Amino acid sequence: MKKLIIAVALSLAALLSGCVVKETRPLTKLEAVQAKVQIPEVELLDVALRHLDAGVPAELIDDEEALDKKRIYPDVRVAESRLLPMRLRTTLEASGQWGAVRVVPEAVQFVDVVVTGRIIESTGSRLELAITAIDASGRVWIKDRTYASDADLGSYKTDASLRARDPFQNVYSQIANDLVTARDALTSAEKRELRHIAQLRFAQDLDPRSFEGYLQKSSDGRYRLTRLPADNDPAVVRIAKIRERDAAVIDTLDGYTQEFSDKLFDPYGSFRRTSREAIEREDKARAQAMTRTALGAAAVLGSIFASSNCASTDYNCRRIDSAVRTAGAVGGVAAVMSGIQKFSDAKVAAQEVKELASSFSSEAAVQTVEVEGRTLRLTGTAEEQYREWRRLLAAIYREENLPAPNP
Amino acid sequence: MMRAKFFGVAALTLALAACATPPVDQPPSLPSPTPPSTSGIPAPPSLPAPIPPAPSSPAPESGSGEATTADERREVLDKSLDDSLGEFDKTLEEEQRRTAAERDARTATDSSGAGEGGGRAAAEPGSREGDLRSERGMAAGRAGNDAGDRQDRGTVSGGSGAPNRGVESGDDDDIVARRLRRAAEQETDPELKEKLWKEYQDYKRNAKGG
Repeated sequence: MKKLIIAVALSLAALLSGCVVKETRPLTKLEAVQAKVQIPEVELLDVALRHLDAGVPAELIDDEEALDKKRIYPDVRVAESRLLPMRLRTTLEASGQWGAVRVVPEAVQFVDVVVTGRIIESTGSRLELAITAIDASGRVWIKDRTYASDADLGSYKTDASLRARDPFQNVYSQIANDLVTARDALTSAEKRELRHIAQLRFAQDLDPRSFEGYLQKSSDGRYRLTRLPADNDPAVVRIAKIRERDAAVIDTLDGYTQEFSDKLFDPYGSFRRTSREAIEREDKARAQAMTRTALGAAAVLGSIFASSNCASTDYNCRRIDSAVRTAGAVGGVAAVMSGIQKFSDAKVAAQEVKELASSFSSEAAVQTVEVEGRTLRLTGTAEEQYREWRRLLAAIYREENLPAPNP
Repeated sequence: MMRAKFFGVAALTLALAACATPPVDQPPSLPSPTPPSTSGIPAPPSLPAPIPPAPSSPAPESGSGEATTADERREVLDKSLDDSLGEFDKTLEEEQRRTAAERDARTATDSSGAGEGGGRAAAEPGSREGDLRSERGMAAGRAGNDAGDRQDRGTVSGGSGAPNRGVESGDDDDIVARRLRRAAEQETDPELKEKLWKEYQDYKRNAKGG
């Protein structure tokens, strides 16, 4: 009898589990640490934020179903590989802690600090990134550290709030703060040296013979400054001119990504907001389905297999026992049926997420193709120019170092 | 007969001797340029292929045919470099102008991105030697772009800054509200300004309510 009552209780619990509401507490807002004092220009480090690795597992690239289950939509990820660094860029710039902060492709090197990363998870409800930061000397600031946060639902309230604060601003703020911590661990001299190293590595890349001997690369792969060239050295002046053009190229590339980000700002924001709602529905329905099915099945099994404690002649007890068994079985079946319905609801919500992703993908794909095309065109042109400049600088070096003819 | 033969051989020897090269006074060949002082430093991985030994005349650059001394040849090469840089500037300027024009065209129809732009403008620190910004070196080239560059818009003076309706004082603004407010104050386009103030007020309302 006692077991039967438990079975009935289980079936009731299964039915009532759908009424439980998951409460989401508002996230504590984390802000990037603002610069409180003016940082001397010679210590203000530039930061290059590389496009993120989209994080689509190679083994799943052709398995759409598996990707859907993990909520990985490759075209969305490709767009995010540019969009997310732009959010970090805005955070770093607003903090006033850095020099120029630019979002750049792989081809861009020789910047004071280079930040790379990989998207581990990115949906409307959660963001998880793995970030690495290395300075121009090869010193590792952050090594594949994971940054994750649930969405700040306050940001999804209105378009204005979405624009004012990213739902995952905590992730960007934490990265920004860790970068500041790593930078603050350097002495003033080290920061200055870092800037020289970035410039000299750039110079060495273009004019290796003129700038040989200024840097030393140790066995651990770190560059160290051995001496500095004179400011009025003609080779330094020439490299400075090229460096200006390099900066202009980087600015232009960054401008492309900014443009890309601006164009997709609203579509991406609404995609994340609506997909988060669908994801929440899906997760909730799936959780309810699991609970109801499991408890319902337990109630049915309990009703069938629970042994009776009634004596064979105690008809009253047997009638009650039978009624309880029937109630348990009926309740259990109802719970299982309800669970199946919830699974169906979850599938509908999952399909909705997929359709939202598909819709955003088609919008983003056009912009992605455009920005990739422009980026490749400019980097190709620039690389061709650098080859020409390397040839001219080598020729100039030869002329400058040609031994004077004997009288 | 013997004497005649002797004189013949002597004359031939003298004639051949006149064609011979003096053995000491002239260097055997032009030495290759002195390599820069090395200190066992490994070359960076990105170094291009080693430069071949210099020929006795400079690399065939345009216009270098008339240059005879090393200084002249170097001047020609320097000019080639400057010309090449100038050409590249033109390419970049054209590209930047196109990007700015596209952005302006889009901003004119959709002012929704202005809040973020305000943030960017507010965060722009000054330029300095060797950094990524190209404004100084490319000042002439960018002059045409700056007017349309939303990034720089925040620094444009002339915006009244004062809201023309009941907007709060902003004393209790958080960082986002400050950015929105600053962007609104600095915006010169009246329509965009209005929208920025609205965004600011919406944000403040949400912040208080949420």
